This record gives sequence, structure tokens and C-alpha cells, in this order.
Amino acid sequence: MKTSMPFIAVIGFALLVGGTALGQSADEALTVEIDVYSGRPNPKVTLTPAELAGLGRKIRSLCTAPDVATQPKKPYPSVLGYRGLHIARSSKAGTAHSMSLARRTVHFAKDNAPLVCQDVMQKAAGALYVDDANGELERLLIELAHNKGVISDDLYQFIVVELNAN
Amino acid sequence: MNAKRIQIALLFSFCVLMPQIARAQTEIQSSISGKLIRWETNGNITLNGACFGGVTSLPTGEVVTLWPGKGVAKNGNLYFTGALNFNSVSFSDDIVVRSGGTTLASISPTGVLNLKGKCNDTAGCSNTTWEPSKWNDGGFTQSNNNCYNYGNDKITNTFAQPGKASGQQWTVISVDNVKAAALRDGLRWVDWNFPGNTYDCGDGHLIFMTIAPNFPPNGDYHWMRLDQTKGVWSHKPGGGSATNLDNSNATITNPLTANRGLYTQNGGFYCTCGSLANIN
Repeated sequence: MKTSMPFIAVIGFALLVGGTALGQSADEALTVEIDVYSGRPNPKVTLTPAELAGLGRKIRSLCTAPDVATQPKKPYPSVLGYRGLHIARSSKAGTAHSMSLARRTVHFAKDNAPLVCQDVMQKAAGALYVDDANGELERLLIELAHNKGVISDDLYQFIVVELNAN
Repeated sequence: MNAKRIQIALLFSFCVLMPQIARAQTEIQSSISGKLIRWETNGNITLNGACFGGVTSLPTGEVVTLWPGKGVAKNGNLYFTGALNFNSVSFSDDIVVRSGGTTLASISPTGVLNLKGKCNDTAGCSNTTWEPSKWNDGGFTQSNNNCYNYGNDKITNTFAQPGKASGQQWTVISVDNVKAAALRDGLRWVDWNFPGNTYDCGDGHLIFMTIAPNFPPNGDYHWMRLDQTKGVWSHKPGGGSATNLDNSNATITNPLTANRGLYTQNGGFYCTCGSLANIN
């Protein structure tokens, strides 16, 4: 399993700027569930503080994008095969759904959004949806799960093919 | 029609048997754990809303020994082909119903009917309806309930696994293993063939299982259910939305012919008991 250069760059940059500057809290944890199976449990990966810090700027850029919407352009997929990512946020207050990513659409839950977006979500009337035109965050998270051995090589290849097809 | 009373004794805790008696000429009434048992004028013995899943291990068409005649197990029911005379309060010998070496039921010479099996109250069993809003919240409920939850129409928020609730979850994905695990949970076997969209489970509703043997790295399974009020099938792929469309965006009128992607193997049709299904 190889770590791609873009992923290293994102993590490295974030470590340089520091997570706290982006609003992460030491007690915040994001768990990414790769929604690919129908019956058996899906693979999950919990981001380390460094990984979370590395992705904070990207997540922030999405929830502050100028074209956020209150309705998704496309609903979350309901097909058999790879569908997307569910992200749960854990903090002192507990664990709850935070985000989902699928088909280049990122959904931010009104409550329990990642800390870097909570100021934005507090002002929002409800959930927000934003286009991630290249599916960059989704790809980064899939790659991270692969690099950490959470998903096998053949499952990673299967997901990449489906990502590219959609 | 004269009423006759037959005492019911349970060998262990509860019972399950829904035998249909040929050429019934009388009516019996007694109680099973407070439930009414009634021999109806159409020849059926009805355990009134009391029992589900107790004889699920009987394969379709299996012949069981019934003295002095024979019985046939089909779809979880026992069909008696011999004449039983409940007008008589005594018999010359025990009438014993067996499946293999297991005694399922017996009628003693004094008229005591003993039934063996597991019994769940089926008062809440019903056909399912297409109600996606119950599942598609885009968040917690949707991501924590899978196809097995949806197929059984029961939210557990555990991404339920066949066999887990009954103590032995599947280990390796295969038709045989997932089928066996589901039967341990109390689902009733129906058939490998499509039984049609008007098939009546009696208590509960019809569901279908399929296997994706080549889903990397170790395969996966999937369940679909018949929403009989509309006569079409729906399903919930993992943490995705509940839908009544297949992978080709077509309405599912027969799950065997629907586009199921990698889920190509037929895992058979079953009946399940809705919100009372034993899953986790």
C-alpha cells in the first residue's frame, strides 16, 4: 500500500499550520465509515488528531464555499456497491452523525458538524450541501483508509473504479 | 357441531405448530399460555396469534411420521393427511409427529396434545408498507441499519447480522451459512423459487436473500422485502437509502430478475415477522 503525494501534502501542510488554528479540539474524533457493503459491517477508520488537522482546512473550505445549498442536487445513493462515506463525530457530548460524502456532494449535518464548521452551521437554518467537484475529500479519505489497512487492495481498487464511474 | 375440550401441555416452554387437519368434524378449544387454540370448521387448527417460527427447520415437502397416518411439512406448517378424530377423548396409542429424530408433537392416549418448539407472540406481525421516511434520515438511522434490518422491518441501530441475536452469527459468507443463521433467528424458509407477489406468509411478510460471492475481499449478502400492500419489492443497501428500485433504476417486481449488481446468487425466499423478528 502506498501513500500518495497529495495525501502526504495535505497532512504535512496541516501539521505545519497546526490543528488548533483551524478550530479542531483535542477531544474531537471523526470516524469515517466506508459505505460499500449491504449486509456485513462496513469498514471504519477513526482519524488521528494529525489526520484530522490535515483535513481541517479542506473541510473548512467546503462548508464556507459560496455555493452551499440547503437541498442536495443528488440524493445519497441507494445502489448495491460503493455508495459513499458516513462520518460520525465524537466529542465529550457523545457521538452523532456529522457528515456524509457521495457522488461529489458533501452533506453537513446541522448539529454535530466538524468543529471547523460549527460556526457556519450554527448560522445555517438546517443541513447544508456543497459540491466537491472532484470528490477530493472523498478520495482522500478512501486513500487514508487504504493506507491504514482498513480496506484491502482489491476493495480499494473496486471503490476507485466506482468513484471514477460516478 | 359439538365442542370438545382438549388439554394442551407444553413439553418445554412454549409451542409452535399450525397444523391443518383434514376432514375436521368438530371444534376444540383450549389455551396455550393464554392464547386460544381453535379447531375451525374449515378443518384448520388455529393457534390464535400465538406462534411463529417453531417449525422453521422443516424442509418443504418433508414427510413426517404421524400415527396412524402421515403428515407433510410445508412452509413451516404441518399438513395432516391422515384423519384425526378429536371427537374421541382417548386414543389407543400416542400419536407422534417427528421430523427426523425430533418429536415435534404428540397426542397422548388421554387426548393431551404436546407441542414442542419456540413460540413468539405474533400480534405485531403484519405486511410491510413502503415507508422510506422511516429509514432515510440521511444520518444515524440510515447509517446504522442495514438490509437485514430493513428486510425484517426492524430498526435496531446495530447494522444487524444474521444469527447474532440467536447466538451464532455467520462466519464465512455463503448462501448456506447466511441462510442457516437467518433460520436460527426465526425466519421461516419458503422456497428457492419466486413464490409470487401475492404470497401470503400468514404472520409476517416475504423477504429474499442474495449473496455477492465476489464482492472484495470476502463477499457480502443482501436482503429485499415484499411490500405486499403495493405488491412491489424494496430494499436498503447498507447505509444507503431505502429504495424500491434496482441497480438499473427499475421497479422490482421479482427480485430474482432485478439488477442486483454483484449480488448474483439466489439465497432463497423466507417469511419473517416484522417488528418481532429476533435480530440484532
